Amino acid sequence: MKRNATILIAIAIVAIALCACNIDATDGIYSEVASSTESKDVVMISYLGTYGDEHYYLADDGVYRNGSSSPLIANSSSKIIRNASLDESTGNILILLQDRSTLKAQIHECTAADDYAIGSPINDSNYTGLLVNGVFFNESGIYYSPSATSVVPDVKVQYYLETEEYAFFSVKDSSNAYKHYVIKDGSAIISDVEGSSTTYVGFQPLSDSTYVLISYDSSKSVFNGYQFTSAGVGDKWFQLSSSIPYAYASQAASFCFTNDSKTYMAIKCRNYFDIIDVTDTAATGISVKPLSTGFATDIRTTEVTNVKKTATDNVFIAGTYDSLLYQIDMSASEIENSSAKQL
Amino acid sequence: MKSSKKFIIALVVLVLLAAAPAVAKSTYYFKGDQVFSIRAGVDFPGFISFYNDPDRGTVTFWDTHLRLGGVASIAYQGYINERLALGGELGYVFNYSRSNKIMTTVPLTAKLTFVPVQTGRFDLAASLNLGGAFIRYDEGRFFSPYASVTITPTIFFNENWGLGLETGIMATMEFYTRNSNKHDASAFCGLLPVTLALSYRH
Repeated sequence: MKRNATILIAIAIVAIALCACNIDATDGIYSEVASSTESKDVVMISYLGTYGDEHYYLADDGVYRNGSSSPLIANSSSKIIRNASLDESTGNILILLQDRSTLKAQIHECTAADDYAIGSPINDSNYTGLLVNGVFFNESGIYYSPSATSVVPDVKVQYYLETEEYAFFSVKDSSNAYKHYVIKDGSAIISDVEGSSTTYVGFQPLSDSTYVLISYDSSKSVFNGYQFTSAGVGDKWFQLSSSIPYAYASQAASFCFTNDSKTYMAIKCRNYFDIIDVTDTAATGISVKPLSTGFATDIRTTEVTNVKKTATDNVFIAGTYDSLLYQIDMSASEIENSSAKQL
Repeated sequence: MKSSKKFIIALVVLVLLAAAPAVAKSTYYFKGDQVFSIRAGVDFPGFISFYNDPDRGTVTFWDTHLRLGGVASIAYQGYINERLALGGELGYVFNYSRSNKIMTTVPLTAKLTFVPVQTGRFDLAASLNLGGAFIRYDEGRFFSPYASVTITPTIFFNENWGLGLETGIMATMEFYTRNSNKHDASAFCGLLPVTLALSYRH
């Protein structure tokens, strides 16, 4: 009898210890299940924006107009659309088309007037990347618009981050020194800021002169936010509540909204959106509040590719990796009462 | 009354009804008889109850965002008297969520079966399983307490082999302490299996 009791106690201890494994779960498993979103069998790379009343996005098999089952501009077996940019005033779309056989990657302009046919490239140059906001680059510099206007010449792009019409570039100049640039609407509004080898994974403009950069602190396994201005990267401003998953998207998705005369930044973390009051850029040690309700309810467990503003204040469109588009409405008086609906 | 509660009450009533013939005097089994069974079938999402989060409350059936799943298990039991069999069961349960990610549950349990009706050709059994289950979904995994209540009418074709239809409820619990930032994510999950059970007895 005593032996049986000992065995039962041992089993109970092991069971309790195993139950402690729940702490390791990324989020409540049943929370993730109950908030899982309908998969659309389309893998989105980026949300491009609107033209007229239509939303456009780039998927892994071409550029789509939302609601259409076939791509507007399709990949072929030999040519892949790597990036795309929509001109929201004309409806024309720039694409970076990679030729698998020749390995050439060139920019093409597909116009609405020409029914989005892929014509000749805008020039003979090869390019490495095209941003949603129309900036593109190669090993010779950074360019903008179908006319390939030079924005920053003679630099080698290390990586870039973009939000709305803003783009952050970390480059090496001709003397191999790290420099940071911010480009808006085809112009470098912050130039030649001394940089470093640090890789930032999030970028959110607060104004034309102040930005937030996010980087990973490997020594503490946390993600921190920093202010970036023409004076450079400042001290740590805040720490995110959890990690940033960007398995498919190239950077953390974020957007800014206003509520009760305050400005907030929302950034997609692993299973929450962190809400950060960024009204007072002189404040130190600002708080970070993870949000799983309101607009975050439906999209907190799916990967967000990027977020763009709409013509309506505090209303945004988010592209998601496998659940297409969501409209985020932050106009409720309480942030917790904000909403998101699948388009 | 929420539908999940109605279902649980209906299940309890069914089990009680099944137990009613226990007054029957004749028994077929003897202490020491053994039963090996394999079951396979489907499972329907029953409910997920976020008991620490009134805003989310309890979601039922397809509102759980789980799809129709599958369940299979093997069990071995020995009769400890004419009406009670005790043993163990190892199972595998899977369900896809709306986002087409798979949730798997691997329960390892002790199984107590009460057989109030046993004619030799027909058994009506009610089983209680208690144990733990390894649950995995996306990048999350944990070990959960597990309990199930099932009823199984079984027809035996001969002295050894029988085929039954088993249904009931399987429940797991995900719990976080008050100090955890996931306290609100604590939840019960109930799945409703409907399976065919092939039994071998001797």
